[in-house]
Amino acid sequence: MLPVGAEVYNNTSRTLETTGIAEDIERSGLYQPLRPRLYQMDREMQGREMRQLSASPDWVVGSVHALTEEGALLIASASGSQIGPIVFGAGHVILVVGAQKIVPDFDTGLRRIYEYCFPLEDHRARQAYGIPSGVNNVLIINKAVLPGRITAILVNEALGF
Amino acid sequence: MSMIDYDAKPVTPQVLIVGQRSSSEGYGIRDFLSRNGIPYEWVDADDAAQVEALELGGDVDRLPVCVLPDGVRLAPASLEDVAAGLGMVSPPSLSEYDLAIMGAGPAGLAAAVYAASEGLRAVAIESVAPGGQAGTTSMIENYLGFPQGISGGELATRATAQARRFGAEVLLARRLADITRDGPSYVAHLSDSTAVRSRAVLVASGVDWRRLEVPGIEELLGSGVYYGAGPSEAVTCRGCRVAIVGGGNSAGQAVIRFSRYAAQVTLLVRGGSLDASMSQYLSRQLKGLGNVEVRTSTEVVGLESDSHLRALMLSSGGAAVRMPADALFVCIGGVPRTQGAARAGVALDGAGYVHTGTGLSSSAWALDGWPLSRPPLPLETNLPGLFAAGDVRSGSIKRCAAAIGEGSMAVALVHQRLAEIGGE
Repeated sequence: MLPVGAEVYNNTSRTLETTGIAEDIERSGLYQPLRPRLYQMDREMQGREMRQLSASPDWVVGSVHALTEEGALLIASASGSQIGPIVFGAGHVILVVGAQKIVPDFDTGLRRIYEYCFPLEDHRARQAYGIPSGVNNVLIINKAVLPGRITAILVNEALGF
Repeated sequence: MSMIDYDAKPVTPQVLIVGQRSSSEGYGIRDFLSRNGIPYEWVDADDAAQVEALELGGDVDRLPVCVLPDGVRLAPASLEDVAAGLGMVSPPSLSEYDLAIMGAGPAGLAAAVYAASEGLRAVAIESVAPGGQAGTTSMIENYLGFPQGISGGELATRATAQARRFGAEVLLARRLADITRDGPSYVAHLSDSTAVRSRAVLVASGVDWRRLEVPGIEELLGSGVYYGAGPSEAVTCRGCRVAIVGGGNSAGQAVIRFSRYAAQVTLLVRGGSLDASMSQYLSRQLKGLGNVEVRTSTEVVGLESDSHLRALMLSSGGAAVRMPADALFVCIGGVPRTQGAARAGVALDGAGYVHTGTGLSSSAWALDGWPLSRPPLPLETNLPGLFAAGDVRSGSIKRCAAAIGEGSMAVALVHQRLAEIGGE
């Protein structure tokens, strides 16, 4: 789905890491991965450039925290930095979703975020960065106005959390 | 749910390097990877526990060791081997190009973009990383069209992508060794024995940093002494005392970058003031930085070290002064990179820069043997169809925008030359 040479930002995602998608984007040489480019930029001098780059990649690849049976996608983010590109900034969005994330309805999706995803992510954040996470921003996608902009790929196995 | 996403997950390192921090070979590989945007993991050879965990066997005596993504281990690793192992050393795809560009700094990249966008078969050859000297600049604030400034690295990344999108090739990790004639065409011989044939050549190889003449400085390269001020070193200077030598814009931009990380930054300027050598917007910014000191009429005359730089001996107004320093970045002037072109007989001025156009008439012998009835075109050297642009050119304005202008201008002149020899 990703054209060779495409500018791609892969979100931090256990799903993308488990499936090898993150590594393929960053190391295959087939794409222009933004994450290594951002990694080498100067946090003190190039903050604005980094925000601009990460906010509007041509392609973003990520995952969601819940998918309702009616087709709504729910994504939570502590900083919100994952959400902007998915809402509008990115030209194309690919979301890879493990089948265990399918929930009957919106309320169950939110409960999944607060009661299941958050404790796991909070534990990860405390270990990785020494700070707690938070359900600070929640994106609900009910419908994509631009046809074909967002593609959700359902994988029939448990991926990520 | 993460912190800022691009900081939440480190990129997957592509190369693991094990080496001594003081190794210049190891520094060269780190600098090459860093400037080409390739993430790497560095393991200090003195960290016994980490080194043991890597199970390097006898290779531990052949530093630096590099482990590539496919598991291949290079010991001792050279920059060329690492580049080849990462698939960065591709052969030229064509048997002949319309334009071969020596150097992928601002002038070379501009020429690649304009040549390829106008349908010319173009290839740019670069020994280290696209961007040249400007590519290591932390923030160019007076480049047209970027009101908030743009880093040299980002400008180079964008320009390289732009050149490739139009179909230009960029060959990395090889330098020009020699250029020979083949009828009206040229053959560029590269350091890895690759030959690139083209109907016109643009020398845009820029300049190297001028070496600082201080006893013992070469032994400290990578161990506290650095040429230029690459982004990879700024973070490692957090809380350090940094000295920067130079009075030009590169030095000024380096001071601003390091002032964000270092405890104290001292700019050492040989001249009496910055007025003649540094853009006013930069010198004004320096005055507003609390942890920056500018010392004019000052030269470095000695270095104090154990295995790492510890202090500088300065000569300031006739007095000798000892200044403790953890790192010294040398950003003084430039030495033109003309080795390969000079071998081909390109006329150089007294300082080693390439003569072009009307500048050739200032040399008594440069136009001896000029075979055409027309005079050399602007930017054309004493060899028809061989052009020069950017910092390497005699009389050029040493500015990023000027180099870009010359690179694009050269393409228009290349069209004239190609029409002259037919086939355009």
